[in-house]
Amino acid sequence: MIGALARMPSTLRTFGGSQVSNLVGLLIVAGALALTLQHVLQHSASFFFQILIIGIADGTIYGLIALGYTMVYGIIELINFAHGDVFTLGGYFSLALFPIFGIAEGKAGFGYVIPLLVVAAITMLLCGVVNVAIERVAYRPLRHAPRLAPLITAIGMSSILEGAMYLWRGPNSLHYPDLLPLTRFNIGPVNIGVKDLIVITFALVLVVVFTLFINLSKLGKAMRATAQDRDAAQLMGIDINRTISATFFIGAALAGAGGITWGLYISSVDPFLGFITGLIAFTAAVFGGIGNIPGAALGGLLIGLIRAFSDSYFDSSWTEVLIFGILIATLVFRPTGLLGMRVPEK
Amino acid sequence: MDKHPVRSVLGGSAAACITLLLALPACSGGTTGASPVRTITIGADLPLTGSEGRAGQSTLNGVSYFVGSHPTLDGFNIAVDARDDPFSPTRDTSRGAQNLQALIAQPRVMAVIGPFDANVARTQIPIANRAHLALVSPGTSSRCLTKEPFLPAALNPARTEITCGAASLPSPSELRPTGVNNFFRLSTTDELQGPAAADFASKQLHLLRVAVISDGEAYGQGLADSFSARFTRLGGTVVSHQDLDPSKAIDVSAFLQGAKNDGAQGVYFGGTSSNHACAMRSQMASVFGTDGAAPLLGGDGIALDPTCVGDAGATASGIYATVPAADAEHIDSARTIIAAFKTKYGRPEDFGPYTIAAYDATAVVYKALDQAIKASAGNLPSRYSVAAVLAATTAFSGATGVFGFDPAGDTTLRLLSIYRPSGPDPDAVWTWVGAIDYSAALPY
Repeated sequence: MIGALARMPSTLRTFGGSQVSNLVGLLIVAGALALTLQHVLQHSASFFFQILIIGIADGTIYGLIALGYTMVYGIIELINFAHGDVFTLGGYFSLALFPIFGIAEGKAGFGYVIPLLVVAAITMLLCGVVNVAIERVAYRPLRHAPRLAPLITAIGMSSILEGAMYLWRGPNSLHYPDLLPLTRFNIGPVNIGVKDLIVITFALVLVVVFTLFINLSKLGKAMRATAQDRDAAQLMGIDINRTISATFFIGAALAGAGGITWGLYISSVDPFLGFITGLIAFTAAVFGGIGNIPGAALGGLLIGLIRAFSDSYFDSSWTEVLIFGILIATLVFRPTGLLGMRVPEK
Repeated sequence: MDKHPVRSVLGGSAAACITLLLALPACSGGTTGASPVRTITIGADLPLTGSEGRAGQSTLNGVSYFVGSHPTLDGFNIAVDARDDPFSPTRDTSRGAQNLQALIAQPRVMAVIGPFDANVARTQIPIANRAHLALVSPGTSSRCLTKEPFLPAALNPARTEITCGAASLPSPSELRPTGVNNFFRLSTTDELQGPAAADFASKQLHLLRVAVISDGEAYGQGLADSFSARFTRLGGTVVSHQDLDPSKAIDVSAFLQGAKNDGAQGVYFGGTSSNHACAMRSQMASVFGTDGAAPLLGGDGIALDPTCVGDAGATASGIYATVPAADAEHIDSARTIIAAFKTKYGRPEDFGPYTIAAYDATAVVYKALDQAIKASAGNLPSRYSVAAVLAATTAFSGATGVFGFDPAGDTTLRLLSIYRPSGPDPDAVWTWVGAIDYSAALPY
């Protein structure tokens, strides 16, 4: 998957490799950390842990979305701008499925665990099918076209999905039922919500299962091989189209699961949710190292934490400035991201 | 000459018009003797269909009911010409402009009840102004329709005034090319909503520390700022403030956690339901606790709105919102009129939040017509004179109380109502919890 990095513009990598730019980057990070520490010390330790948990919960959701970005980029070097909207679609599909499975707000309990997991599975399947269809219709015919062409169709698909959701359920945000318990408990001075823990656990399990799948399964191996060298993989008997479709399917399934998790955590979805959330997740993918799977998970987590700390310790108006500042800084100072590795030029 | 002195665009108002026709034989063509038909028409521009149709129709009922009860005035038969002006989600105001031009083209239209929507008002006021035609709105509350600035310095925590231009709105003088005011309204203005919520939060809910969020739009920021200024003046503390980007999903858990840590007991949200105001309610529940003890306050961008209750779901309790208008059902002087109205208009949907405001608007137009007719020796008065008499109204005794119009055309009866959702059902009518009266003194 990291093979894609080889095709990153060499000027960027040269600049990124220079000692001076690394030093400047380090200084910026050190300054930001010092400033954060100063603010953290002004507040109580319990507050710090509460924000930490919110950040981890947000971060794991971003991680789920970022995985899809990074996989698709890794395998066909396309920034799938429709990916954020597939994430939103996850929220919409699950909302439509809840009544079928008798899930309604106000009766939360253990009885909902199985139906909720079934809804999650169906939603992930539906999102996967939609993303595979998008790839088949809008990206595959352009696989050998200039790289700008599929980028533009990706933006087009994003708008189409947003429009479809708008027409389906209207322009307003939709209330996502509060199905998770709102109870909180204390561990020492730290007050933790059960809801946060469930969200974090669900997302983490998915990330771990997925990482194992990529590393251990035959299909995972085929995906990594295709990412590294499509032609060689094909010569080895790998069905490239099938592998790429599988990549889109799995990425979308994770995004769909992210949509459900978001809904359960934030209790609200709207047709345009995927645009900004997708951009933030994309930043997470770049931050972690685009094309790098553990990098995407780590990037998501860090972006979630940065967001939570900025929202609470600093002025939340600056949060997005900070996040997209990180995107720019990463591309300028370390285009391979945190976990990205250099690979030799082909 | 009008071919159809009483016109209606909707079946819902047909009943009222049939009543009028029966009461007005002259209107139906059956003139008696050689005396000419003497009719004065009151126009109405209201959303009779579409998403605001129910509210608009019940408002028109207030007009029809008053005219039906007073079919003649100083020898003139009074007719109503109601035009449908459906709410446009795209803020297209061309229908309002067409309606008004059609009304202006009829020389016997002496005043218009409406409009209902501030965007439509911004299009209609200049058109009506050139024709010297009085518009009497029962329900628009955007301050810049009548007054500069958008937000007075005393209501801005930064102590600077925000002009209408800065809020991307035309100033009142730009809307009035003749320089003479022709727009009057019976609801009070938006800049009082934040202060009213602050008074309610401080004096009724006994909150000392709150967090303030705005949806980042001019309306929402104005509400949030005016709330903050008043709440601080009342001795409260605004622990944190956030302007959201209206285009973005709301994820304010970390902000709320920070606010709670700073001692916030509730949140004021300046903005609209469509900008996720009430969607954050369940995040509030997970930060502040599930008992609804930490209230979420807002303005008429969320009040009485099913979307808000739907977004809040099970956490709807603890939401309070202001409406810059009196709730006639809770004003003693309006009770007998409402009871009489309901005997004639029996369906629940016939009565709405602006029915009695429209009734009073029509009543004050009658008073102006009466004076203007007398001043023109019993002849058809000029539109200019009707508007001039309206502008001079100081102590009119209406159903909702004694009111007049200030020099800008705003009612002097500055009453605001506070509501809360009745439960998690979006379609349930909100419960009135109190009123704030700024008639005697402004809160700034």
